[in-house]
Amino acid sequence: MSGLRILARVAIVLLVATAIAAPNIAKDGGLLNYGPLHIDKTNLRWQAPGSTGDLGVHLLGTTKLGKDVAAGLVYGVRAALSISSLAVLIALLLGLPLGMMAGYYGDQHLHMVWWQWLLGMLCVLAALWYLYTGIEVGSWGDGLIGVGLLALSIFLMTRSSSGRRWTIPIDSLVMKVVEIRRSIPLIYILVVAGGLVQKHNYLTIALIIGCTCWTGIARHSRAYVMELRVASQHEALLSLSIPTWRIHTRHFLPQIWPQITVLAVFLASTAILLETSLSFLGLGLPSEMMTWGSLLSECREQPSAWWLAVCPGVMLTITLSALTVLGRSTGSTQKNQKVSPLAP
Amino acid sequence: MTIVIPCYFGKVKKETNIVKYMVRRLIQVVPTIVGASLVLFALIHALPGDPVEAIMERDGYDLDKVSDARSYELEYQRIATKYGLDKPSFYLSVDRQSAQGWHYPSLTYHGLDNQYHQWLLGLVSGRATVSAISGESVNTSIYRAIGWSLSLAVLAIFLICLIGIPLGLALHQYRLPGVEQGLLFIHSLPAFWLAILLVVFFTTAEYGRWTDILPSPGIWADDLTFWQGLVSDGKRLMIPLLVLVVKDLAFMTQLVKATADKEVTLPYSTTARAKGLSTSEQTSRHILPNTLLPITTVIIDALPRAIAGLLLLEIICNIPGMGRLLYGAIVEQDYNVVLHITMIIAAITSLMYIVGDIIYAWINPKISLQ
Repeated sequence: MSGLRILARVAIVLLVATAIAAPNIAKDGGLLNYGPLHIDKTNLRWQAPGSTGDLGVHLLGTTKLGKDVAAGLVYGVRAALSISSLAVLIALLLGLPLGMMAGYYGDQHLHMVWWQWLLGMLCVLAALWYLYTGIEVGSWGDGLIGVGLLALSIFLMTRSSSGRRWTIPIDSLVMKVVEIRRSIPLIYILVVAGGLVQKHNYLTIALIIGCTCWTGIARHSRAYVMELRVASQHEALLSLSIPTWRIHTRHFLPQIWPQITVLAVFLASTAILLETSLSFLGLGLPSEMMTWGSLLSECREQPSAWWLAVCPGVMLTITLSALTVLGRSTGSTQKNQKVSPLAP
Repeated sequence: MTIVIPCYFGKVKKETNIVKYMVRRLIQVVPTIVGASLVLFALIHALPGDPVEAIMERDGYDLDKVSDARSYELEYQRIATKYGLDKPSFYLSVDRQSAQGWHYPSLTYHGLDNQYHQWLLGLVSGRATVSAISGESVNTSIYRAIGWSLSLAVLAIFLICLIGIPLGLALHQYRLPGVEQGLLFIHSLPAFWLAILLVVFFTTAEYGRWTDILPSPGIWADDLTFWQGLVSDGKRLMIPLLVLVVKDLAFMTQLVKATADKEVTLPYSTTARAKGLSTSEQTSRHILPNTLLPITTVIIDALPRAIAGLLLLEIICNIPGMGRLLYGAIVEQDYNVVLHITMIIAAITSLMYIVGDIIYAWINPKISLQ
């Protein structure tokens, strides 16, 4: 293991520790002297690092409202890491099943009894409507109905029964959705969605990023599964009459998981960059929560406040570089010991 | 033993007719664009916020001091009818009904006289949609903005090629210590932070006399045409251009260097040396043409990437391009403009992918158009 990789791992561990311990590090009278919400009335309007306020020294200066920049950076770590990990989780949950299904069934191999398909799709639509209603009205009952309908649709579509079968071109459908998403650059979609969403919190921002970033994971997992499908391993599994879901979860997923992890690490760094861009534009987390992006956006008002331009950017660069090094090193170590897709 | 011949001997016959291929790909783009517009339209209309009230506020109608409910109603109706906002938003609508504490959806069909259909008709027939907030034709503002974005992106790509290819070949021949690492370091910095740093440190005399070297982002005159603006304020394009070029330079040089390093080990290079060519002749005549293939893929990808990257740079440096137009429309809740801009971006990106595939197949006969 080279020095760079060790450095990257140490940086990631430190960042995660900072994110977890943020309320303890940055609180009024704590290690950094100030919490993120403390408004220091003696140090309004961009005071330089080292200026003393009512609770002690501002290590990295203050913002226009007299908030401590160091505390904002610590809470920014929290925002960046939690939003990006949530977004990656959402992207994996969306992208992996869709991509694997598209790669496995292709356009010709998914046959379904027509009424099962139609009823199942209807149930999925109704479930989505109930979930949306549940979130908007804030009622648990509607949410539960949505989850129940989703379960019902899965039950309906996986049950075997007789009748005329339709061939579902699942690959074309998924790839069309991917193409639609790819036709507009990511940042444009995010700006539009960020401007339209009314509540800005960790979950909504992560949802916006996750629901737009899953296409990369879907495309790659599709390609890997297409490769695995034609291997003799798949034939052996079929001859043992192992059910399809088990082939996917117990045999395919462990084999493509190393490559997916690398993708997820790179996706996490993209998500952090997107989160910072969104809050830089004022379309991310609400402005009273300090993030790297909102701190960066403040220096546009006051060019002489160099600490606002430098500090969040340095944090951002360190995080992104550490993730890139981590992703590359994971990828290269796995390349040497990659399991051949033909191995049983 | 197999012999690899990277040069093209003779012409490989292509089965596919290029016009047929283009037509087929163009037809494939249509559902993509329609799908994207559907998603955007659904997103915009599913969310709360009344566009009619936004227009009334712009016209100076103070919503906080509504004294006469009747006149408010009339004014609301007038505006809604004027901008077609009283029509249903889509062919179908799903409404929430409730009975005895239960919610259930109800589906209504509205016919062709709806906002989406009108918008689509307007887009297809090229009829000008009017921005609800500024009252200006959307086509005019987009036409003005797209010139800035496209010219910046194309200029940046041109400069990247102009600097990157010779630099990559130089790095292939002479080991220049530090250059590669420096370029990679700049590449690892987020582009918008780079722009912020340039704006903060190098546009004012705050940090010493010598730091005032770049033009500061200012307000652009609105009424100028593209060319007039270029003459009067063209120097303000320097920061975004610099950031775009410097950021992607590492990518280009690395690619050229890696390809050249690989090509020089192939037998045809040895042949070139054996027949008595000097290193520079070998590089320029034999290696350079073969590095052009991977470069084209980068250039083709670069235009959509540059347009995407320009969004933040335009906002930071106050360039009146597509990105800033979109951002302004989002902030002002001017959804006609938002829809139009995103659709045009989608069309440009999809077309670039098609053109890219065609150019790639045209350069590399090993790939056929299918």
